[in-house]
Amino acid sequence: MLKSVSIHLVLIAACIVAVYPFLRVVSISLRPGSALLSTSLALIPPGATLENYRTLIFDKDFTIWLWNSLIVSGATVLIGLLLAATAAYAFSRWKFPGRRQGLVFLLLTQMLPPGMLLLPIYIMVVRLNLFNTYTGMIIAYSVGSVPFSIWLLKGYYDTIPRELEEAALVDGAGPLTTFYRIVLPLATPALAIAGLFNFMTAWNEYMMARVMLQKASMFTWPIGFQKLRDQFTTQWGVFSAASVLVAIPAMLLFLYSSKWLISGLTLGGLKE
Amino acid sequence: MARVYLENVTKKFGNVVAVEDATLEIADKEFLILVGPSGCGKSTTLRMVAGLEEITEGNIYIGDTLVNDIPPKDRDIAMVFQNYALYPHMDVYNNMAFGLKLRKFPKAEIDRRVHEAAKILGIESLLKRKPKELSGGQRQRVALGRAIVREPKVFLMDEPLSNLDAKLRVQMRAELAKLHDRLKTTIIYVTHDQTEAMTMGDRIVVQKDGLIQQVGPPMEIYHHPDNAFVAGFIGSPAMNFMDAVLRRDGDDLWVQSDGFKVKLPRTRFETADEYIDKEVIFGIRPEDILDLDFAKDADPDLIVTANVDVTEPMGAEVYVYLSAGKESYIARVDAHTRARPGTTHKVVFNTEKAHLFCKDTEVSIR
Repeated sequence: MLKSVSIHLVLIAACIVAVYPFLRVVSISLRPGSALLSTSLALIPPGATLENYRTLIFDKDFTIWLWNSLIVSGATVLIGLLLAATAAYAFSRWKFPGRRQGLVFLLLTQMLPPGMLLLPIYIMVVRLNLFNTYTGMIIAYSVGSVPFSIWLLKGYYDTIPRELEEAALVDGAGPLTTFYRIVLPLATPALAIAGLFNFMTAWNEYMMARVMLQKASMFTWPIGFQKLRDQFTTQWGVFSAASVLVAIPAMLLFLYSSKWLISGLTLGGLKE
Repeated sequence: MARVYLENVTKKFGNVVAVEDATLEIADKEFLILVGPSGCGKSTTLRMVAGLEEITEGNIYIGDTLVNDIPPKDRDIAMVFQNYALYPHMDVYNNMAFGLKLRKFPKAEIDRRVHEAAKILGIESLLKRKPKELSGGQRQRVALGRAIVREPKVFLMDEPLSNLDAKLRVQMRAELAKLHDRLKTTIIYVTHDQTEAMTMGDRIVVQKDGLIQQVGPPMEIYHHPDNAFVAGFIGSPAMNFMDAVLRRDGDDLWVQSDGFKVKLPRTRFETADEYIDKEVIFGIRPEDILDLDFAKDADPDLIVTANVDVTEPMGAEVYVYLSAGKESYIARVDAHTRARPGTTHKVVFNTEKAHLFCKDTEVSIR
């Protein structure tokens, strides 16, 4: 009983710590322009209004930034998963010359600080005429996400018993069918985690986007947000409204993928 | 339905020889058992027939087709794995239907076959369940069902019962034998359990260290083992082996050991002359050591007095652990024996059924 109460107290405290700042942002986004710098702690401010949201959506380029971010992040996830799922399978299942070196190399790429890659990637992107394009951004983000995903997925594939694949081979499946009918469905938890991680990385990325995007119509939301700050004033109400709105896709994605983030998917297939 | 023929098949993993020069013909509709201790190459042999392992040397034929380079999916075989290997993300129905779907069978045919197999195995009520919702025995049945629906030329079974509890294993053993009668298909069955080997197969192949030791019907192997390994591996409790010297006394042949000397029937060991006065291995099965109390008219030349170390009552019979001199051995005697630990007891060696093996090569002397 005491244990349960103390666990709940800790969890409630943690929830408050996690949720309160977000609620403050929601609260600020609802404030009328006259009360922006109010020190009131009320969650629903007096004279609450959606004016900031209207301004953001209709008077600013917010929808363009959001769209750009969605395209770039979505494509990074898709390409990342497509390349990583197959490459990781090869690393997990087959012995080939350079396998070990390949894995170590992929790990090394993860050890470089992202800032170090800015310049080389920028130069490459400019030379390849991919400056200010979706393709350039997607390639730049995939450089980081694919190696990470390969390692994550390889680790997961290693835990999928080979007998399942052998059973499928005997049942009449070729290697490719075995991969996408047996291995991939069983790897969904790892695919979901890799996808989610890659999406969040690309979605929130600022530094690379700042270097690679000059044209306003190509801005992703982190760059766009900077434009909400003028030299002398910042529209905190609009800024907060934007913060609330960009959180929504990420939250939806979390909720949607949570059903795949179940452990023990391979349970029951083999005698433990 | 098809015969399977292995011709001088060798499998090496690096420098390790897993299977060496195996030649074996498995007749159409035969139930063949590959048996041996772990690491003897029996599973590797099966996996080569399945196409899951490449063959280093030799040829494998299924029917009249050379299958060396044919992938598993085109060999028309079905395999039951030791740990079931059911697809965890599919329900029982789809586990069983998977192979047929891949082969583009019409839906109605798939449905008919799955339900028929499920009926044979008594798992009709489980078709909608996922593997994790099944007990071990049920999973085993689904794994069998998945093989049955395919109606393959050859069934390959890799220790399918070894993960079941003892009672279920006995039950499934009988069911598999019945299933074989019903399906009339070639079955190659791998086990390390000599009881399964004895009870289920038409023929047994005993393997050790990658080499085939002996091939034959169960009773043939039991009564006429080619060497000491086969003699010791088949039968439970295992055959007693004792170091002994072969002696001739006039026309009679005797075997003399530290704790006993008994007469051998001359007719059983016609080629034994070259071993006279040499060391041999004397082998006798526990059931061929009789309690003198129950063998009243026994030949006095076969009677041995031994110390009783331990008795193990099994219900219908008693295992008596005896020792005499340096040798100790087990006798399997009537439940009413008067042998008690700590006493001496007279037993009779039924040498009509005893075996001799060359001390060096362990090959049977006949």
